[in-house]
Amino acid sequence: MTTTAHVTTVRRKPLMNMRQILLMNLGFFGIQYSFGMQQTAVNPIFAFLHASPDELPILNLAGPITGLLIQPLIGALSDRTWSPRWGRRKPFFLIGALGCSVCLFLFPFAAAIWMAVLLLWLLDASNNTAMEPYRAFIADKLPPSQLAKGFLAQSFFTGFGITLANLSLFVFQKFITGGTEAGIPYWVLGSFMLGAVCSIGTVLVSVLSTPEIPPTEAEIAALREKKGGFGTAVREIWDAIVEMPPELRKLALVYLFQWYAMVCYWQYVSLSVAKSVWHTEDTASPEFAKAVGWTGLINGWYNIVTFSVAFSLVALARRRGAKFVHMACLVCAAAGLLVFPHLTNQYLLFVPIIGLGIAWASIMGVPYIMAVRMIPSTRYGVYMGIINMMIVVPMLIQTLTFGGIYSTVLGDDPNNAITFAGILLVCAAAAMAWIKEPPIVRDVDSVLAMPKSPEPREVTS
Amino acid sequence: MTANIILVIERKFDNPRPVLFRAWTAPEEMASWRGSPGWHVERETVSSDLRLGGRHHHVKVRDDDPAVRVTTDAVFTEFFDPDVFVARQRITGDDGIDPDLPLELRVEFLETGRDGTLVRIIQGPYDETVAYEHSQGWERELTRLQDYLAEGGRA
Repeated sequence: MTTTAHVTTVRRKPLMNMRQILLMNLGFFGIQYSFGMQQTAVNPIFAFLHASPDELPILNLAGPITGLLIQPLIGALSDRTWSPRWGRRKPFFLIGALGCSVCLFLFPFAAAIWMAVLLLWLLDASNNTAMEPYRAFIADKLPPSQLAKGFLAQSFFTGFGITLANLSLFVFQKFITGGTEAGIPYWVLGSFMLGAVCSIGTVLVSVLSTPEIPPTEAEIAALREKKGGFGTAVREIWDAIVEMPPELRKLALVYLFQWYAMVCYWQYVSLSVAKSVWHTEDTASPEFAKAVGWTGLINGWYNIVTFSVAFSLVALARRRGAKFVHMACLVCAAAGLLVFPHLTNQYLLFVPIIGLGIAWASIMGVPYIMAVRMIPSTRYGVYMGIINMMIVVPMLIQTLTFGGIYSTVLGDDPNNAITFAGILLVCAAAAMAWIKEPPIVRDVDSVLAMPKSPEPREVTS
Repeated sequence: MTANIILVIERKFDNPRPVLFRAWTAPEEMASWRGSPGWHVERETVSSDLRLGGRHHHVKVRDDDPAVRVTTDAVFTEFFDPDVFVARQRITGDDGIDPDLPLELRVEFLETGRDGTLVRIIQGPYDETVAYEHSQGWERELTRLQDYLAEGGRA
């Protein structure tokens, strides 16, 4: 048999303590705060600038398009980057964070819709530039036994960042009055300014406190051989898709169901709450406005659940395996969403949505624990980008298909849309069962004793 | 001395996973290639009970000085052919390794491309002063494995 010579990749990874892991991931808080602002505050700005409601989907096109194109490209480029001074992943999330800060700073000063749209494209591109190299950074830096802690720390900061972004809007609205000439209130401006500071500030703390692991000489030589521009990066993405490990392909199916479901939830939860609790479908009614406000609280609550449970999932993933934990979390969310549309008491809604908060913590962390065990470490960046495509493509499919499903199969009923999301999460859990995770011994006590030499006479030193 | 470095070594092979798993675990095969250049495994010392909780034993000897012997005793804490095995090891006779502190060796065999296998070795914790030397040892050992497989494998 002929054998091709392949480069050996060697990494020496120091075990990190909890403080170091949190510092390393602090920048993710800033990035997610920025995402939180994008999710919650950008559309109101469009509205303040007199965009009509039917224009909102097209104005938000930046999200899926930049996610689809920029993340894998940046991932592939970062795999082929090494600078002794700047590192491999850090230049990307530093540039991304800087872009986020500048865009967040400028956003409230937009005087016309075209300016706000341009800033949204730039903000989303910056967020995407920062996000996936950050996931690859965790995989590069932590030894396998600590990956769960690393990814779930990111999940913790996701919940925390988005919650604080929403909270800042809520708090500033109470205390800040007045607005810009273009009609944007100062309380919105305050939240954006805070976001601009958080974004670059937290990333700087992470960058300065956490050195990257330098590649070996053999790896640097291989990187030099690979050098090339945009075309090479595109070719690399294509090769990575063709060579994708079968288990990662199965993860794509899980992602299809879970992200389709999440988008259904986000799009229809307000309408569902309005119908089941306030018994209205009239979006111009005051009851509907109450439902929208209440939904904000519900979404804030599930994000609080997310950052509260993220670290508990670490221990569970270690003991039971990442696959089992993700399945269980998806089932919790499914159960919650199946109950949610049947509740008529506004306070009771906070109970089933706990399931979604738990699943959200898992969605943002646990699949990555499995994914990095399926791919070579030299290609973490490009595969993290491809995993992001697995998120964005279902979102695009949902955008294209769900309108028809909603009006034909679901009878234009938002409560049915939430039920549909619950069923899709059950499908995601079932698809997860198909993935073969490298097994974890559950009962190790009987085999963990220090091995003893059966023939001590052979032991010499 | 603080042992807190985990080594992660990866190499792609153009062989299917069962071939590599066998080369790593079957006593007669691993005795044919294990050990860095300048060392060899003493065939008669290799014993492996290939199952969860099974014990493994081998002695590596310096080619030019048979008095220098490094003994590995291990228990398989995971054993899933051809995906992964994990062994909790006690290594005696190596100046850089404390025989009273167990090491964990995890070897994963991942399908990559059409017929390729990515072998990922995770071992530690090592003291920082000896981690570099041991990572170089693994690099050389994997080249030896590649040569062994190129020659047809199976002892």
